[in-house]
Amino acid sequence: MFDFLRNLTKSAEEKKQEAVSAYLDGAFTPAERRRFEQQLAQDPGLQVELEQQRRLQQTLRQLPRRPVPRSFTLDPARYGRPQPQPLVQLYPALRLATALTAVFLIAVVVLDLLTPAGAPSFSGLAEPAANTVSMAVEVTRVVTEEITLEGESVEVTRVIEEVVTVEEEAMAEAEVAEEPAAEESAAEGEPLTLEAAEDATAIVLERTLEAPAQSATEMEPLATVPLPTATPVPDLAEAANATVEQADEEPASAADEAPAEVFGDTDAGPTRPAPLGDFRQLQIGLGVAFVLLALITYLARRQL
Amino acid sequence: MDEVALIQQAKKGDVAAFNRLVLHYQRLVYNVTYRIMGEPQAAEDITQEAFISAYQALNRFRGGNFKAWLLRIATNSCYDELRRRQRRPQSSLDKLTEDNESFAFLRSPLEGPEGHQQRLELVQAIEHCLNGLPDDQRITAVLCDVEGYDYNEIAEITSVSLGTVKSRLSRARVKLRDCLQGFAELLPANYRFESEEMSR
Repeated sequence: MFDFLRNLTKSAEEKKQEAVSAYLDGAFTPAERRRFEQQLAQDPGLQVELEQQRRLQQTLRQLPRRPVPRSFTLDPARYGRPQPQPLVQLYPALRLATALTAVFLIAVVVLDLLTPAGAPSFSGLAEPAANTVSMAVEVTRVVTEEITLEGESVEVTRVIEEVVTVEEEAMAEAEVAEEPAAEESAAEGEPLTLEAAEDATAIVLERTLEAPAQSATEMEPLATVPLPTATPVPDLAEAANATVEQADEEPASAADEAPAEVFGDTDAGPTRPAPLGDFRQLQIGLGVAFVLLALITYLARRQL
Repeated sequence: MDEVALIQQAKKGDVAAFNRLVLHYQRLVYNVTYRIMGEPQAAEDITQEAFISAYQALNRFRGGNFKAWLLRIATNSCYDELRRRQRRPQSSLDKLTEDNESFAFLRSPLEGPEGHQQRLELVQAIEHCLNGLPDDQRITAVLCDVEGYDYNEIAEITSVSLGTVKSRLSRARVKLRDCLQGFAELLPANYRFESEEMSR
């Protein structure tokens, strides 16, 4: 690159002298030599320059070689085995490792930039809790089906939000021992414990069985205890449990009126810091590795 | 002399094997350092230092042109000494006291004293012009025009690009030509640079 820049600043005279020099030393390609010889045939000044450089070279070559004033051999008693230099021997491998680390680092940075925001692997510090809660909710929205239980038609709505909501209300009722209010609309609630959820669902089921005349449409959307015959139920129960347990660990993002003694300190921050995205960790690791390798390679290079 | 075998033995700690390499290359290294430094004493010190460094760094030599590798060490040592002298300029007693005795090797039984004197003056003129060059250009001119290395070898020895070698050599030759034109009467007739004579 510097040769290119240097060429831009050279005068025509300098370029001519360089061409003469290169021609004299046989440093031209065949095409360059032909071009130069065509120029030479038409330019007497160029011919003079060439001849002067040729004579100069011959003069310098006449310089006699001096004899050595003494022997430069080493004293075996003083210079033993050559010192091993492991860092120097590893220099080619170090250089390769540094280059590869740089390539990987660049690739990871580019992938990070190209990946859309909001994807799970790039969740920031504040996001994981909210995403996890919403995902759990989405996962558990499974199937809505109507089953017949002892001649009575029961509508089973497998919607976790409602499950959570209902459970929350039932939990509140259980604590204060008030009139069952499972039909009440769900408030956005805190996550409940598993036992509370089970109690709530049991209460709801009892009420459902006591009112067979009610049509399914009149009934408020209720969560039901998973029945053995319903295929999605175990998954739903597990998902509900997972949601409850997970929600129990992480604070809700919305404002709520859940009793503090049940849900704990909801205003508290995360119990542990949210993890960095995978790519971010990789970037940091590769960056540190690159700096270390570059430093070691530089030290090895200095010893060369 | 099996150079590869000697190098392998020297790598294992055989100083005697390395000394055989020293005996083979010492005149070359001494003359290159002498042309670069312009002084016999400095050339002697740097030559010894170069061989010691080469022995200690032998494990880094991974095959190839051992001569170029050795000269690279020697020229680097010259660079270091020249830079050191630029930081602390000092008058060289060698330059002041060097007399014709140091050119005694030029004597030839085939020529008379006049011929010897002429040759002596020519050599001194060339050395004077060489010493007047900038360090980079002088090293390049010595390696190419005095020692006969090609551009690739010079680039390897001096650790620069081919373009830099060409540029330095071209400038050095122009300066040497202009300097030697001042000593035209010392140059043999067919080596003189008169333009009129050439353009006839």
